[in-house]
Amino acid sequence: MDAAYYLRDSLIDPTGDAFPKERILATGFLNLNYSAGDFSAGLRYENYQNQRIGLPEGYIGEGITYRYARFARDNYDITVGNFYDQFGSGLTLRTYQEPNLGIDNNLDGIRIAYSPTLGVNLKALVGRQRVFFEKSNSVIRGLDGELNFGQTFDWEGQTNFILGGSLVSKYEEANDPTINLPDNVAVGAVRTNLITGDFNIFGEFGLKANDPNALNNYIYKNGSAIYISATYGKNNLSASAGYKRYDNFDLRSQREIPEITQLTLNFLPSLTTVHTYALPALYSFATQPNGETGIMLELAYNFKRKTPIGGKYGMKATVSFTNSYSLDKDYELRDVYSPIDTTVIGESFEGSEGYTSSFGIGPYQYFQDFHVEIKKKLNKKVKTTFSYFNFIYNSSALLKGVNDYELESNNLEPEIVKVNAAVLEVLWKIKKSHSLRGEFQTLLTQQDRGDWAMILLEYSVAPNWFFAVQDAYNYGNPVEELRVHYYSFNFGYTLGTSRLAMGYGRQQEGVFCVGGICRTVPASNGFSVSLTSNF
Amino acid sequence: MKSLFNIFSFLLILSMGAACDVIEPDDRLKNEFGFGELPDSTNRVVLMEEFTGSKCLNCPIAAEELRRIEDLFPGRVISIAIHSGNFAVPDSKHPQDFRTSEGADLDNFFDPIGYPAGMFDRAGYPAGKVNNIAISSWEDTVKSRLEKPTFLELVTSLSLSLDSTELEFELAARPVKDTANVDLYSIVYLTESGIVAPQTKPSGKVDTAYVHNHVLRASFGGQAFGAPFVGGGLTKDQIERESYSLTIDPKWVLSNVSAIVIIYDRATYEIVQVGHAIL
Repeated sequence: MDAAYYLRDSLIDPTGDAFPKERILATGFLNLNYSAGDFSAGLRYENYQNQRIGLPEGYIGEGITYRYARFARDNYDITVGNFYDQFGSGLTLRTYQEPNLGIDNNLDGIRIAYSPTLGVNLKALVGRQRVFFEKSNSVIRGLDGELNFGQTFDWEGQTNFILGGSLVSKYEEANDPTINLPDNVAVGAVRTNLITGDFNIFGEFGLKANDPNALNNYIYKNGSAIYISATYGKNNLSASAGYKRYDNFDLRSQREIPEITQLTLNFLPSLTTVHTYALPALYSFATQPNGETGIMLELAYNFKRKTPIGGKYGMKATVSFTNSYSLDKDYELRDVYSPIDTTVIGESFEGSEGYTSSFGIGPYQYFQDFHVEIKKKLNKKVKTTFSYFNFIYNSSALLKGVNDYELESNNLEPEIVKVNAAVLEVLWKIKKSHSLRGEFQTLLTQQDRGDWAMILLEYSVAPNWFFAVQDAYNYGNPVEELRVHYYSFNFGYTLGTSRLAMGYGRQQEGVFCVGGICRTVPASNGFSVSLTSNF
Repeated sequence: MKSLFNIFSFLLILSMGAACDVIEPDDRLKNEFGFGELPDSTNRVVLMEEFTGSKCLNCPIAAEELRRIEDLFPGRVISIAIHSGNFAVPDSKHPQDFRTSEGADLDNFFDPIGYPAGMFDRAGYPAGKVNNIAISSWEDTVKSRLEKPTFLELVTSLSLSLDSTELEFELAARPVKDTANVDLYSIVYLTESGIVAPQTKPSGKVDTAYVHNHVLRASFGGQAFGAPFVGGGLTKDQIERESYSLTIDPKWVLSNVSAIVIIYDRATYEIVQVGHAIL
């Protein structure tokens, strides 16, 4: 259970738009699971009375949002009710729950998994998707198959090859007065995974048939997606590289969605590092569902102990580079005629092909992330992590949702935020069970909200207590009145399988992201209580 | 286990068969010009043409009857008053000249046997000789025409050119069914209402404050019978477009003009559909 008592803070929320009428808001859930042999069943009760600040507005009310019965024996597995699943990397289907973002896109229906022989895995499912306390008005059907050559053909050694494919289609009745919409929309993908002793190369390629919807402005262009990820690891070196190209590949179970994070049917891996430090996380990347392309390169080396660089306790260094660009598009809009005559009065995406795209990169950079992380243990009691970050952040696209066409057709340049940030994290084991963790962060930028500095001190007495104090100071805000201290005080107590946390603080407005999925969170000020218990 | 496999096969076939609907580019728009859902047939608008003249004693009676029929079937009938023949020749009491070359050509072709003569959708006169002079029968004639569905929907617009010297008329015609072997012509006429000018009344007196309505002023293109619109066959839902323009005569009161488009079968001269637009 989470509850918050909000205080009016005219400094960070001058209009009071984010200040709730309820003053106290609480959310909670209860998971009940039962299993007996091959059979299991469960349910989840959720309540939002009303939704806390930052959660989608649709979460108001209470009820049982998840219940299932499952039977699994030998080589088959049947679930009736709600379930989560993922095909491949998620290009065609991924249902999951991320409570912090207010995402729960589980399917309510039937899921069957069947393995006719070792290394062959088949899945079929049909269902309707959850949206808040309702169901989507569409029916989802999905198939997935995977052949694990190593297992099936009993390969020897460390080499393995996995071939998979999936097909997902949705049915949503169409009745638009202007355009002929497809009732059925399908998306399919093939994937391969080559694994050797040191290498692991995964690639998935997807295609989507015409899927005009509100998010793509009702264009009929087919979608495509390529996601490739390769990793290498040997001795103290590890390296990874990735490539992505998503072209009109966002898939929702409805053409119209109530909120941007809802009714997602597939998942487009962001291929970026998820930063957990508060200030760098202010400029997190959000996957651009209508089109983007980019790469990721990462190199990590573990310097051994008792070497000139590794020192007495060793050191790990990681260098990472990520970017994302718009697609190279040639727009193909259609003429719009006056509703009462045949005069051309404009152009529209709706009902058109929308655009054609080449394989190259487009004119706009959405994001670039270069960062270095060095982890070093100084002595038996002190561990440090130093990180440096350099971001190029297209706030027009990533924060304000301005699309490329708006910029291109008006000869505008996107707003770019250039960021340098550094974080020093120190963990000091004071004595047995007692530790102090400190984060010293700075973020420098000439754009957006300007410079920040932050200190976090967290004192833990394992396994029961923790106390934390934090102050993030936006000292470089171009608006002098907004040079605000965002401070917070928290403590928690853990007893057995129960944990109680309480706090008071001021939360800055920002974008909250998990795995490339982001929500804009308004500013708030208040007390919070969180209680979690397993029994 | 076998049943489980059968369920799998069934779901596979179901998913593959119902996977997606690919909408071809030509099929994406269902309502580009503001047309509604495609019907099997559509209501026709009836054109009532009256051969008339300022010196024609009974023509005001006919004009009044046309007005009454218009009120009876709002939006379904459109009138044109064709001032032609001897009754339209100006004289000292009737100085205005409403005659047009288009009106003269129509008069010559359809050759009314008396005035006033009513012509409805130009139906039944492939060789001319309009003889419908019994005004009392006009309402029934219109009714019978209105009961006959047609296969063409029209969307029209009338606007001023950028320099305000021309009237521009836009036409979109949607066939609601496939139609083979038709040779359709289109013509756009301009009519003007609210013209105050002398008119001889049934009493024989000249009414100098008489208001003339639906007076044929000109045609877009200057031809009485227009030009080919679609030849051969029509394909259901395949919209045909045409643009027309007409130089504005300064004596016209533009707020009182109406552009009337006629689509007719060239083989029989019978009108298939009528539309109109005002500024």
